[in-house]
Amino acid sequence: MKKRMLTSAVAMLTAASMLAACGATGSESAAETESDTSSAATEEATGEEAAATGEFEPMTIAYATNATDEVFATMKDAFDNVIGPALNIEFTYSEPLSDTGALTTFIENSYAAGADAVITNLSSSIDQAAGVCEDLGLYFVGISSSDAVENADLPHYLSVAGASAEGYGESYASVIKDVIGDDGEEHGILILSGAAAYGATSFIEGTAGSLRALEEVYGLTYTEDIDTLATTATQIDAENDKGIKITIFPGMADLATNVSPLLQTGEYDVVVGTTNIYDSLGVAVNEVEEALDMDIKFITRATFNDAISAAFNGTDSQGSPVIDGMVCNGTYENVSAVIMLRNAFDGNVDNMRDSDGTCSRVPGMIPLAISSVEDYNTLSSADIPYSFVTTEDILSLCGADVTWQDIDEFGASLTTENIVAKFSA
Amino acid sequence: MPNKGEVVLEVKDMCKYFGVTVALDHVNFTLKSGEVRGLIGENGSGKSTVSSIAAGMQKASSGEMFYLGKPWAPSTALEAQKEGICMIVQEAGTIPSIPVADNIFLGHEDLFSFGPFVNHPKMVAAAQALLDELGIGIDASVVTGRLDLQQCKLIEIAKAMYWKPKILVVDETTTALSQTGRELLYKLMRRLADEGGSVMFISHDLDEMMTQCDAVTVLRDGHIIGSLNKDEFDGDVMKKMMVGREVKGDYYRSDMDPYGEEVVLKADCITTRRDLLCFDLELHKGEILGIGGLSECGMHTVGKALFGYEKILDGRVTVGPQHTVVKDVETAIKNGMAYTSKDRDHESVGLPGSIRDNIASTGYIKNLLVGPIISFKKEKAYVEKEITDLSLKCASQYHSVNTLSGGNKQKVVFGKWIGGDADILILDCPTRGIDIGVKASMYQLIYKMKKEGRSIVLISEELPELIGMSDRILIMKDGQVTHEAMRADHPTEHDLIEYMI
Amino acid sequence: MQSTLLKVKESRWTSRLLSPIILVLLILVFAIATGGRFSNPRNLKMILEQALVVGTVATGAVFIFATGNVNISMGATTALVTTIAAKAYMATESVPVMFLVALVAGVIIMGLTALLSTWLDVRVLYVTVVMMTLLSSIQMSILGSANIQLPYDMTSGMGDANVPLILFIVFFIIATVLFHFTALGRKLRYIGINDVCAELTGFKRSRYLLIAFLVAGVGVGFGALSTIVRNGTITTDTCSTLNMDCMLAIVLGGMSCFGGSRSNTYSAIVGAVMVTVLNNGLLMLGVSNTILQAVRGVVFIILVCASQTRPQGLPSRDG
Repeated sequence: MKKRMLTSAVAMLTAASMLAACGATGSESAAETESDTSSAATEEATGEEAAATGEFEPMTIAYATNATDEVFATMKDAFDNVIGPALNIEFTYSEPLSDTGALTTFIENSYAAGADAVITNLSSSIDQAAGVCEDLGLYFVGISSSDAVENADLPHYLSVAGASAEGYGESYASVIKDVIGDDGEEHGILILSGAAAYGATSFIEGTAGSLRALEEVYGLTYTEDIDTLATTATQIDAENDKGIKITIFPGMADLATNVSPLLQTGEYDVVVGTTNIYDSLGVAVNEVEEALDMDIKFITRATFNDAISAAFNGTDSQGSPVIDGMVCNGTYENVSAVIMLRNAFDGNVDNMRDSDGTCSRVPGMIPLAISSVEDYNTLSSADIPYSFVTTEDILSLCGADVTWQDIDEFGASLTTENIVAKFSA
Repeated sequence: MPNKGEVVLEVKDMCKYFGVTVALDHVNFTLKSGEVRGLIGENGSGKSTVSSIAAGMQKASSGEMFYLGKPWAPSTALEAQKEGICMIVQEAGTIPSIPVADNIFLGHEDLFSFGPFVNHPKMVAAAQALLDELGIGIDASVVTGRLDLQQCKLIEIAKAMYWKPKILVVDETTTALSQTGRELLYKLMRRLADEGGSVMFISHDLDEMMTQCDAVTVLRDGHIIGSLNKDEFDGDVMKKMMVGREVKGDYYRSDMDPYGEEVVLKADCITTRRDLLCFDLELHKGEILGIGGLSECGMHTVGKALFGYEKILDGRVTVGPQHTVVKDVETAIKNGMAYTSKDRDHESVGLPGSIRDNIASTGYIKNLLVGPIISFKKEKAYVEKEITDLSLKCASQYHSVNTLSGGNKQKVVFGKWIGGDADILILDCPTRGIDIGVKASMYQLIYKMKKEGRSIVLISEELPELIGMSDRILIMKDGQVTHEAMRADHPTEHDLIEYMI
Repeated sequence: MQSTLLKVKESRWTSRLLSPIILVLLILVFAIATGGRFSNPRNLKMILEQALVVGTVATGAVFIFATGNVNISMGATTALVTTIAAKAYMATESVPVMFLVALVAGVIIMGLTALLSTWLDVRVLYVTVVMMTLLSSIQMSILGSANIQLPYDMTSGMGDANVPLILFIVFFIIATVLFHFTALGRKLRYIGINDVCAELTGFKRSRYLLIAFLVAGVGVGFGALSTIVRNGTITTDTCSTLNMDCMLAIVLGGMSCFGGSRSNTYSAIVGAVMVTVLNNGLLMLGVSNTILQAVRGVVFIILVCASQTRPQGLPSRDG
């Protein structure tokens, strides 16, 4: 007993001294950050931002990620340097997590470390994670393309954010119409359906959307059901009454080896990828173009990076762009998740949840359809804020009267057209 | 060749450790040209170690050597061979799957090289010439595996002699040779000495030593005890120097106690995959049955087969009054049998385990508290009892067997089986690699077990031990019993060797 | 002489208790560094709960590791058993059925692994390399592209009732009694010390290997149930790191992965808790995830060295 008291006394003493020390450095660093931000932001609305920071209570959000790739790094950078300071939020991040057990552990440890809210993009586990957060009293937003199945009525389960799969169909349709719709020529089209055969919805929607767009462009009718075609597990020709050559090739692995022979037949001059096919097929396509002296239109799913920029801006052996069109999934879901958690933490919980007492569903922005170099360059410009959302936009979406519908609507307004209009000015 | 009487090899302050075991302890030794120098000592006294270091087969832990006046530190046996120190080893030193000539020139193929190729006919011719010159009647082109042990040894001798060695080391070679083979070897040794070379001769046979050597050096426990010149040779003095005390009759047992009539273990025409073909054996209660022979004669297989560890293809081993068939190790142990392997460290004791882990392994049933729960107290006492009874030298029963000396390791093995109340013990080379002091206590222990009515199969490569301990001796050759000798007949080593080769 | 004797005796205990002592020290350090936040009972309970799945499976694995055999399919087996049991629950909606299925499946799969090793006379390591791939492909084909999402009411209900903790304690007690208080554990350890010698002492390797795997199979069954309770959703990634976690736990707990004398049942849970303590504590201290892995790696190396060093005179596997 004596020992225990002694230990706790020692612990308390150390704690006290540490807290004192922390407090000192804490306020120091806070001051530093503040001056940093203000000096950095002198160009735009200095006073407003500084004032805004002052309005928010400090808050910590734990972000449980399923990968620590380039996309994550970009997000982390924006969170830590722009959004965090603006909303007075500190972020902690997990290591790449793959299963629910590890996710649960991260949430528990974050709670112990003092987190107030949790975001995860580990889409298979969001309902379970919501349950864990409920037990610990943490606000929670899951990022997934599909709706909550369970636990939707838990009071701390704010929302499921994330582009729904349908968005992909629209975006692909839009790109295809832009790329091949206006020339009136007949094309041979190869669609790489990726993981659609395994039931991955964004791939199915991407493939189906592409098929529908072709239906419209050529006014054709398929002999088979579009969904059946989209989920094919083997290479299949989408036969149609206009006799347009459309082939669907499923699978993700070893595309370069599997697809090159098809391209070398010279029958295809449009390649559509529902996944990032530039990394795996870019070289093969270029070789075929050179060898057969033909131009192949290239449509891929991708994110903004140096390689894609070069491909968009460069020309192939036929003098046309290497990439003719691309579909880029938006990142607004991450921003919207932060905004919703900020609002909930500030007491505006009910507006963040659906009025029927379940969690809300914020599909946010649909994937961007980009089919011109100018658009690409505007969207990928270094001056553009993360997810095309400026600090003012974010601040305008925080407040007692904001509802999740407002946040959702803002996301829906983030189309290529709008963004270009907004930022090219 | 150096002049006669000149010092060719000088060993200064040499030590050799194997882990914690001290094999050589600050040994000083000189070898002169023109002499046949005998090295004698009990097993593990260090005589093989010192000669093999000189011949480059292993390295000393400390100390230095001078060969023909220059510092000598051969890194391999091949290097030593080229410089003129050759060794004929105790163990088989030939590769069975290649021709005789290749064995003779193993590692020196470059002598006959022709670009990247070896001129094999030339090599065979050279080998044949060498064999003929030495008077060894073997065809150099046959595959070595078809020759018997004696012929293999002769090939090794030829291999050594080719290099016209300045120092020839003959390590326990004569036990494998018949009388004619020996004569040939003696002749070669003498010839080498007369030409100004030197011979280091190692043998257990004191008579042989006294007739062939010009001088002997006695080692004991890694120390040089002393040297004797030919005129000082005396069997008793040498034995005393080797053992370190007056060797009285009770080093082995001296009694003529009889053994029981009852057959406790019987092998009935057993055949194994290797070695044994319709082998018979009967072990009586209270009997020490010695089995001797050369290492490859199949006697080690007999031990394993009796214990159910070697697969028996035909025939059967039965144990006890009910004639239970020993079909596996478990049955053997259930019927009170125990087996200590020749390869003690790998098969009889768990080296990394503690003494307790090992000794207690046979006594779980005896140390139960309630139901299947083991009483730690009983187990501790059980192990402690064996440690005390065997006067096992150790810091505590929790110590690793690794840290013990060979003799104490063997005591752990004995303790394990005695604690488990084994009545029939199959001891395969129980004193192998054990220093002489512990050896004596082992013999006493074996005798004590006999008196307690336990039956013992003593398999050994050392004839004196068999003669000294056994009630009955079986000599084996090629998997067959070639001779049976009773204790009452007082067999001599010489008689028995006849049947081994 | 007297003093050296005493010293040696003492070091036997230090070597045995080193890992638990390190664990206690670690907890103390974090408690002090976080000003007591770390050591509040709720956090400590959470840390223990995080370690239960690994602790349960690794406790079973101790039986296998003790014999000097390395089984690397423990994780894949648990994943498959988890999937089968979850499927069974979805089909019957009965918790007892799920329990029964988990236990039976765990014992059968582990038993088969052991039999494969002895029948084919292939080392356990090699068999389990094959088994690992085989089992995960079976799991994948059972799961298909879908995940199994178990009803939250069931999993959270069982979690609130401390089912994983109870399962662990029951299994730990059974395992400890079997391993330390009956001949079984000693025989397994002796096989780990020297298998030929053990065979010649009458401990039939094939039989005891099977028994060890069956006991481990019970651990796998219990571990699978705890996984279900904790995870709720079963995917192909479930338990994907479990096997390495188990081995790490066993080594951190002070036991050798090659078995032998120093095998202990407590190693598993001590090591597993050590890992969760480290994760939780470092996060509490605000170590960012980018350097967390590096920090943890360094600490693991230190811990492994500390828990594996011992006086030369004391038993080890390779002497």
